[in-house]
Amino acid sequence: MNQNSKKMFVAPLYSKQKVTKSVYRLDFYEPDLTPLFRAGQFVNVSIPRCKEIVWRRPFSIHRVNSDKGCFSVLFDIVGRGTLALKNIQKGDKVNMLGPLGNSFECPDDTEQVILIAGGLGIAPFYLFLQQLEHRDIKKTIFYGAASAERFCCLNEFEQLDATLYLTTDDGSEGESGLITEPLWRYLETAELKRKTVLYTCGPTLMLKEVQKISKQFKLPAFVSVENVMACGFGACMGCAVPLDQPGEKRYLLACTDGPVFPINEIVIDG
Amino acid sequence: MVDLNIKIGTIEFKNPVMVASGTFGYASEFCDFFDPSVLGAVITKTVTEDFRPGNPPSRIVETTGGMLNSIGLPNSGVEPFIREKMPFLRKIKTRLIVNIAGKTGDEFARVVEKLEAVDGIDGYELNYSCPNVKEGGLSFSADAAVAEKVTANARKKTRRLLITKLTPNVTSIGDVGKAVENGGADAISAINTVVGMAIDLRKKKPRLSTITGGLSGAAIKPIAMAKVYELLKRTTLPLIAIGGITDTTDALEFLLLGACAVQIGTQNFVNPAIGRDVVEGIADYCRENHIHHISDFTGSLVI
Repeated sequence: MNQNSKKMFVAPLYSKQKVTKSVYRLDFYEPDLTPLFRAGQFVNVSIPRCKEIVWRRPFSIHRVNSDKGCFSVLFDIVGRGTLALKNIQKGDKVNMLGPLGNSFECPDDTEQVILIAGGLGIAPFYLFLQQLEHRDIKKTIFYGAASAERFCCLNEFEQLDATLYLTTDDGSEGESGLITEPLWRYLETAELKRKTVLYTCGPTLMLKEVQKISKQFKLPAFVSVENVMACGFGACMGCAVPLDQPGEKRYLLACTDGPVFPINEIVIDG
Repeated sequence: MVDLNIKIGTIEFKNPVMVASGTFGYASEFCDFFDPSVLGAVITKTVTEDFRPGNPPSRIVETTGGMLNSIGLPNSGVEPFIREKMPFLRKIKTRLIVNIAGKTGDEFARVVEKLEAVDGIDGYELNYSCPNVKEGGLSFSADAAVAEKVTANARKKTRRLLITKLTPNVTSIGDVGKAVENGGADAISAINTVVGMAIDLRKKKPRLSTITGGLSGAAIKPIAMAKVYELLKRTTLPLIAIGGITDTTDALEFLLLGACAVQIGTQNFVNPAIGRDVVEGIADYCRENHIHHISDFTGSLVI
């Protein structure tokens, strides 16, 4: 993605949906930029009418609807910022920076993509699948959540041309346990002659496991990291991601070098 | 027509709005948002003699009305800075101040010496006061005698504008200000960040990898104002005010107090075009209040 296209813009809220008990989807009207957004990229959103909140809040672009000129973000209410954002109303204008960061790339010779998401890590994968829609690639999603009612947009993912594997921590939907368990089994039995690429986003434990899996099966894997950031465009240098290499510590920035990284090039920690 | 020109030492600036070191990268990060040429000056992220990786995460925490940082001056070192960053910085049509830090007084002087051979630089800002560098950056400005000596050493190497940036984390910022004046600085910029700390109750751990860090943003504006006031009383040097400036009003208040210029810091992260907005805001204020030259306004505070 061309880094030069980032902008500060004001987009009105087009619609708001409650997706789960605490997850909301906001659709913003921005017809000029929406067609430019690539899966994996993010917007850094100013929290309206909330002076004590200093920073913007970064959100992956969840999906686009170019016909309507809308893009969506998906977020869980985890603190003051997201709580304030939940309360905005249709038509409210929200200041944002974007599109920021790099994106998921899928090499031309790819025959299978496997998306591994935990919790809200599912957010960027809807747009990724939208973008892969017309490519002749086998698409498989491994999606884990705490419990059945925490899954986001399941019926919409089911409508996409992808095979879906689900797990929950409490066994209330799909298999009980970590999402990487069925992934291990799948890869052990699957036909891996196809050129397969893994993509993952979600909790640290899951990412570490995908790192192992990627090494074990010698499959290229990309991770979208989540990081606290003050600016989102490379100025504050707050969102350091340690490079996995011997010798002196080196850091990349989640906002401009990422958020998508080859999973075996960085240290996943936290 | 409003004249926002100011002069510090022998250098003219087109307006009194600068961007603080470490909050504006090397300017290229901001070019999608506005043309930095409209600023009075660009001050670069800190340059040290050698490569520094910076501190491990987590480096930043949002706090009420501000933020804590412990970035640790990551930079590629002075030679790569000259090679990789200067070609772009030179193209910006405004003043360029390079911020410098060192582990020792000699390192400050050596970095100045290397930059002296490079054109397109109008001055240096000596960063004595980064609280996040273990090797003792803090000690340079905590001790007035050392602060004077380091300024004097750098002074010997250059005739360019020499600004010393001071920390508020000292018993008497006035004493240190007086010392760097004696050392030959052309101007003082103040304040750098205020030492602060934040804790994560759930994890029962400090929020920053270095435990403490530097507080910036709107939360520190009253501290900055008191420190600038003290420095104005104690030295005759031009004062460049830094600390919690988030809009035109904040900037005007510091000019009213007597600062000849201001630096915008943390707000650059939040509104990347804030520098342009404040330049325009000051011009508008002057027009509305029939101030023909900004110097007619500077220091007109009634006490």
